Formats: sequence, structure tokens, C-alpha cells
Amino acid sequence: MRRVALIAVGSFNPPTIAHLRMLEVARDYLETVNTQVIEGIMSPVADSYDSKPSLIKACHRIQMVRAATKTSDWIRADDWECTRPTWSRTIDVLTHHKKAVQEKHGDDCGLMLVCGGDLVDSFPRILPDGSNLWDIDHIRKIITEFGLIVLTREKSNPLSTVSAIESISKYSDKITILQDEVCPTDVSSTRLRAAVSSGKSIKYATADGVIEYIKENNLYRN
Amino acid sequence: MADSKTIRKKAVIVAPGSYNPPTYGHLRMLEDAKASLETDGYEVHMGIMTPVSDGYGKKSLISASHRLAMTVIATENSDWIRADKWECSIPEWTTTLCVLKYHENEAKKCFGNDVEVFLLVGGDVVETFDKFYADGTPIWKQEDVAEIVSTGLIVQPRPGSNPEKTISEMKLNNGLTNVHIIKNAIASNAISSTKLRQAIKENRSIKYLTPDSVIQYIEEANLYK
Repeated sequence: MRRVALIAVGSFNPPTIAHLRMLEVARDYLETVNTQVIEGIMSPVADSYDSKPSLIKACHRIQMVRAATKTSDWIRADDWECTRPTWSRTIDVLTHHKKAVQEKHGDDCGLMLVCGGDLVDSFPRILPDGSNLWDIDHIRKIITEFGLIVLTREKSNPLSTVSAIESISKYSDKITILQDEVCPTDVSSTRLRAAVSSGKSIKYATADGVIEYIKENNLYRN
Repeated sequence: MADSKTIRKKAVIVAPGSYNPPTYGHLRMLEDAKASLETDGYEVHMGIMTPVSDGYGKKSLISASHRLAMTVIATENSDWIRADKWECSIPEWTTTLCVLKYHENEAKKCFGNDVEVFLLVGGDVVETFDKFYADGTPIWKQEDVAEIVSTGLIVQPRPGSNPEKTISEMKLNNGLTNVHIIKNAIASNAISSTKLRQAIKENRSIKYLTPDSVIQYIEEANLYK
């Protein structure tokens, strides 16, 4: 039986039930293909990720991810990425965690990246300075050396995005594309922030611990 | 937010359903309904989840005692939503209008005669208001629909439903005066209880789709296996 750990990277600004469902659905799927999932890691990006003013400080985001994963017996928050002083490339985050996972659970253990279709849609993105957001070689490595599981969302078509990038299109059949059939939720962090700032309830859209943390620290108020 | 001098109208939301099992989708629907009514100047005093009686007769429906227990647990940490056993303690099926009128009466005892009671349904339910069963009998009594619509109705829009149009075309006396459509919902897609039951049967995870306490109850009582 194959053994893997799963990692989800993102802003988690704030974490929602959709983020948590991604990992649950990925694990359920892997277990049907003879793969044991030994742990799930949620790794918030560091503060310097971008200059979006809506991105609140990593110290809050990691605490919220801790609160969100408190009742899970297999998913945990990890602060390696968000405590680094600068933005890390996803490949570096994966490399670090694969090493850590193998030290903890043995060399046969793999690490797979779990993400939403929106991450895949960012693969071809060009930054304002003209450079590529992603290094194509890194994408190839993520797909072939780690493993990529994509949860589709409405309006995203990860397979066609990957197929359109010439140098990686030949790996598109190595990507696992899943859908959460039980809960085709469109809960997003953006909607949650808007609700908090207009004083609306976000209960049942994220964990109660996250809601408490947001309230106590008066986050997303403006 | 209305300023403190404004006198807000009092409202209670009644949400009927199978709750087989209750999900975050049901709970979110109530939260979104409350937020929407508050935007329209109401103060929502209570949300009531009322599981349907076993007499409703759907095959997949597990015993009301379990469905009620799960609904009680699911609302345990809400400060405004509660489960109510009146409807499911009656062995026969009770019409929706009758359930609404019962709760209107109870709400008036609690909050005064000026409280308005809203029936919370999905847009798909509104689409059945003017439809017929295969044998030609109407699904709803038209006078019941008229009474519900004039009492108070709050609708969660669903893809493919057009509640305002459907109700307008029924040409009821009060038109759309007491009909509210939920705006700015955080989650527009309801979690399906049917798919949840399927997942339980296949040993797939339902975590984060319903409160942990409900999942625990399902496991302990060995439901939906």
C-alpha cells in the first residue's frame, strides 16, 4: 500500500469549510486506490506573498488554521512557510515538507499537493512586471515528483488549463481531478470577509473556533 | 445596521424539512435568511427547525426520534435556532400551513401579537406551488399557498427557480408583499442530505458538512448504513 501525506497551501484568509472539505475528499479518493493518507497539512502563505491589502497578518491566519483543524484527527496547521521572512515558492514548500514527512514516517512516504481549480488556473499567469508567476519546470516537478490533486470548482476547468500549456500538457493525465459530490459548496474566503465586515453571520461556513478568533481579534472589520 | 432609534419589526423564521440528517446547508440557510431579514429592517428573535413527521411516508426517511435528536444536537450551540418537536410528534403528516400557523400562534405568545412569522423554503419548493401530481391532483391546496404567502415567506434562491415570477403568476391577493428573497447568501448551494446519506453508506467522510456532534450521533446509532 502506498503511503502519502497531503498538503494544501493558500492564504487561508480565513480558512473555510471548503478548504477542509478539499482534504477530506482527497483522502477518501486515495483510500479507494489503495493509498494510505498519513497526515494532512495546511500551510498558510507568508505575509510577503503579495501586497493585497485584504491579506491579514500570517500570525492571525496560522492561528485560524489551528482553530479550524482542532477537531480533525489527521489534519494540522504548519507554520514553516508563513514564519519565513519572504514568500516561498510552492516547490520549496513541498520539498521541505516531503523531507519532514519522510523523516517522520519513512522514505517510502510521498507528499501530494491538494488544491482548488483556481490554483491551476493561475499556472499561466503573467505578473505585472512581465515575468511568469509559475516556473513551468516547477509545475512539471509538482505533477511528476510529488503528485497533484485538484478539486474542481464551478467555472474552473483545470484540465483544459493544463492542456493549454504546451510543455506540461503531456502530464495532464497524471493529475487527479476530483469533485466534492456531497457538498458542491461555493463558500469562499472573499465572501466570508465581506460578510464579517458587514456584520453578517459566518457560522457553519467555517469552524466555530475560527469565528471566535476573528471576533476576539476584531479581524476583517473594514 | 439600522440605528438604535429605529423600531425594528419582530420576526420568527420557521424552517420545515426532513432533516435526514440536518446539514450545515440547512443551518446556513437559516443564517442567510436572518441576515437578509435584518437588512430589511427586522429583528429575528428565533429560528425554528421542525422535522417532518414519519407520516410523511418517504421511504428513505428514518424515524422522527432520530431526526429530532440530530436537529436538537445540530442547533445546540446556536443562540437563536432551536429544534421543535410539535410537528414530528404527530404520527400523521401535518400540512405546511398548519405547522406555520401553530408556530405563529406560539410566537405571538412569546414575542407579542406584532411578531411576523416567515416560512423558510428553497426556491425549488416554491416551484411546486402551482404544480400537479401525476394523477392530476395539485401538490398544494391553492388556498394554503395564498395563506402562507400572506403570512410570510422567505425563499433561498436555487438555480433554475424563479420564485417571484411563480408566485406573481398565481395572482394571489397580497401578491409579493410578504415574500422575501434571500440576497447575498454566503453559500448558495445547499448540501444534499441524499448525497450525505450515500456518503455514509460508502464510508466516505461527511466531516465539515454537519456538526461533529451530529456525525457522532449517526455513528453511535449506526444510522444510514
